[in-house]
Amino acid sequence: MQSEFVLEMKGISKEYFGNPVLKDVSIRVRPGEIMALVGENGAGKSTLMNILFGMPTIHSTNGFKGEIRIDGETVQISSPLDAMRHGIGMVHQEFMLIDDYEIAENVKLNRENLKKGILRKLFGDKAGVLDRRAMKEETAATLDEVGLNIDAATHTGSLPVGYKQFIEIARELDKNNVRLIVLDEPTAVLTEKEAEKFLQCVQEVTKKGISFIFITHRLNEVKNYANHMAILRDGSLVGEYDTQDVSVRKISELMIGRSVDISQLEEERKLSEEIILELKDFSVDMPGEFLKNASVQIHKGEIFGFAGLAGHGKAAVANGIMGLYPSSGEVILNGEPLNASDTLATLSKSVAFVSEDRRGVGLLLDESIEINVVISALRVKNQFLKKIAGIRFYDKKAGRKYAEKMIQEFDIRCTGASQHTRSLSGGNQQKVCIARAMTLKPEVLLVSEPTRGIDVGAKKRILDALTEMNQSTGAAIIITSSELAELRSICDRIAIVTEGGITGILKPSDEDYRYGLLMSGVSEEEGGCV
Amino acid sequence: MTEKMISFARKNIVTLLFIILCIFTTAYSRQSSEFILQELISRIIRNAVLILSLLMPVLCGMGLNFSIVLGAAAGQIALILITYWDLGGLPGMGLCLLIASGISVLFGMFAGVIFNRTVGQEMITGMIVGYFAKGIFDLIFLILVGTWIIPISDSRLILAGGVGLKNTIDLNANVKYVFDHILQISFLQCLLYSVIVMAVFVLLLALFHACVRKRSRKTVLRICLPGLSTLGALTAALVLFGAVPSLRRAASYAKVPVFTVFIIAGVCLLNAFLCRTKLGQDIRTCGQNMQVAAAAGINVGRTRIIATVISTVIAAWGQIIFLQNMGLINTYTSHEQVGTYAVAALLVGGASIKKASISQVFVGALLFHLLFFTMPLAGNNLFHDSQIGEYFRVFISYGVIAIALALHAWNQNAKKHK
Repeated sequence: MQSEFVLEMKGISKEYFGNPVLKDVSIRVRPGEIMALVGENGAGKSTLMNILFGMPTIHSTNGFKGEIRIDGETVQISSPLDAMRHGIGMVHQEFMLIDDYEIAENVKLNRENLKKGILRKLFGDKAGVLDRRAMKEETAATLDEVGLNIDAATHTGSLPVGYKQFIEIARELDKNNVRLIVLDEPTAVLTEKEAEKFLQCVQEVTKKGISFIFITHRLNEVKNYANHMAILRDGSLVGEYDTQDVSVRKISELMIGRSVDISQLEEERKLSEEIILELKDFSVDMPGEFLKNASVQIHKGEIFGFAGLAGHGKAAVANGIMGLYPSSGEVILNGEPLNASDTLATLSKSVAFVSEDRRGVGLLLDESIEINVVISALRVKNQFLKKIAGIRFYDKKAGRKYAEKMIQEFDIRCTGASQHTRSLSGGNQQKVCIARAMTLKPEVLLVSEPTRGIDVGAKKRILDALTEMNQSTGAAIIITSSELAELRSICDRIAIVTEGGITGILKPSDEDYRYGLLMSGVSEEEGGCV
Repeated sequence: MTEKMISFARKNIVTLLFIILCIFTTAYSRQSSEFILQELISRIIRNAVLILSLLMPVLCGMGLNFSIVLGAAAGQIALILITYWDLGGLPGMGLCLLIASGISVLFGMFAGVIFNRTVGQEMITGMIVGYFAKGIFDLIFLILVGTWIIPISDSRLILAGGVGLKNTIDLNANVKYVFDHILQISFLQCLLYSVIVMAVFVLLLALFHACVRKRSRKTVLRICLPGLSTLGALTAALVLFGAVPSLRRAASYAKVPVFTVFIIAGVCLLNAFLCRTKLGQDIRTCGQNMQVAAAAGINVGRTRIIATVISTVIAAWGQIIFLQNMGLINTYTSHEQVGTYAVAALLVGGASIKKASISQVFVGALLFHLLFFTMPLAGNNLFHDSQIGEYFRVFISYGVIAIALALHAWNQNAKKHK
């Protein structure tokens, strides 16, 4: 019985420890079509694909609800091997290729052709000698199919990034029974030209009846190459369209969709003309979060946000300024150039930083709240010190008093100032981090992911504390966050970082779709015309 | 050009350093060329298999396998057993190799399982496993042998008190030179025969590919190129040793144990063959990237254990060859240093923890052992104290390991920053 769909996932729901991450999602893929799956980070795309592949993370957390059908027949997929057996292939986001191998060796990885021989008969396939000629011939044929004209004996490492993606596809195609290939953000690492070529090749392959699920943030590519699309938001399916029926603007609206009540936003504040921090062609070499040639001016007393998808470089801004990763370009603070690699000097120039890595960089976990709150001021500003016989000692009394004041001010839930920070909850740990940063009385405060992993009540208090500080001290606050709604509720301006560059700076009151477009790497003019 | 030379020197700094040192100590040892050549040949042959045993784990990405001490211990146990049973000659040695293989398979599996639990720290783990094995070895052979648990009484083996093996066990009667003395020829003859055999081999290979496979002349040349260059090198050596009088004297004096050389060649071939099989490819894949290997469905843990087992078994053979040449076992110390010396020799040959080849085994064995025996002599001549040379050679074998590892890490970092 030939079904109309090669794959149907029906009513898929999944919880992680009581947190629903997928709610009744259904998708369908026809033979020989490209189905795009779009959504923000955390919308549930990866979880859905993990379910399709029977990944161990799914089954070790109580499985999922719903049904998977392949060619109309219900199947149980309980391991990646099962998925392979059903003809589902995956092209990973990070290359699963070995650079030192020839292309043929990579394509045939663990499916090598073997010569016949006595030893192989006696000891099994492991003792069989590799038939390199057959491997090369078959690989060459497969490479031909994807339209890659290259010698199968070429070293993989010497290829440009764009080609590697083709080789991954070739590997999946080389498996005889493959029917459906999942592409997990295949174009994220490619240049526009390469991406175009790659997607044309994918389109070519669909003519053989092979289907693709195409995960991406680039909406232009969806529009131009996909036949069909599904949009996920917060674990729910919010739309399923034929791509010709829907505009890029509509897609990005659906993707972001968490409508912010604009009436609730405060009136636009009049910003000081004075510029406190300026970045000029600022590049940061942070693994997984590269930033390239970003230029931006931040005004005195402004609350400035950096938004964008994970892995696109927004996290690199603060980390680069504070010298945690090597950077190049100029940072100008109050009209003076700042040496970004000298962290102590930066701190002493009234720049404070609250890291996204609370438990790693942010806190001394086995020290008390008191020490954690005062340590930076003690090191950088020589506060909380008293001199006894010319030697400087820590002034425990002053420190304790100050810490207790902060505990009250921030409502840090603890047994007292001497409690170790390791045993505090995430929200309270974050409050300690912010309290410490404020102790420095900074002119510029960099805060990364202030509300990640924190419950709602604590979130509000932290955001309130930040705005309060901004109003009372006039310090500029630079917030990096994955929570766009949150940024829009407190920032004066928000820069969108996409693929390592600042694609635009928006006001909180700007429409949803403009945010969506900038995050998808579509320039506003392009998106606007569609 | 100069840039190329600098990068070549930087990559081979350890080997180059040793070549310079070797020239220096050989000159100052003031020994006859006969003595040096003979000593060098017997040392290379004695140690080659032990060093060869390190290759598989390097290929599998586990670094230098210090746990070959376990294999060496297995070899020793087998030798002690056949000495106790009073077996000898070729059949006895055959049995000895068989027993050693059996024991070392078990030891290798033990080490492999532990390595799988300490991924990324195999080298230090291997070293500690070696110390642990030594403890067990001592417990069994020093404390338990001769008691009711292992009731053995044999005046040749057991200490006067009736418990524990003697510190040294004499192998003169049954085992010494069993392999080495089967057929011995002079080094000069050896060179001559190698040239002839190699020439015939290359000729046959060329004929086979030209006439049977009907390949083009260019392809045939390409296939024969490695053989041709080896032939060239051998011929050059033959001419050199035949023409220079002092070398010629040395080369006709020094003896080469042909049978042992065949065993070594066999181990080399085994290694080369394994590399071309599916198993070899799996081992290589694991060594390149464990995540990719696992994603492709290769059983990474099992593959790593197999690589360790192969290494341990070859090490057991190596220790047997070593001891049949020495003619006696230092019961409690013979296997102790095996790991360190083999690793040092391999590193001197230009290997790193990521890459090692058969040719590096022999270059390393040559340089390391040349230095090893000329240094005390040179020390004696220069400072009138052989202790200084003795001190230096211990210092050097550990120093080599440290420097080579540090340089490797350094180069790795430099590459990353590019």
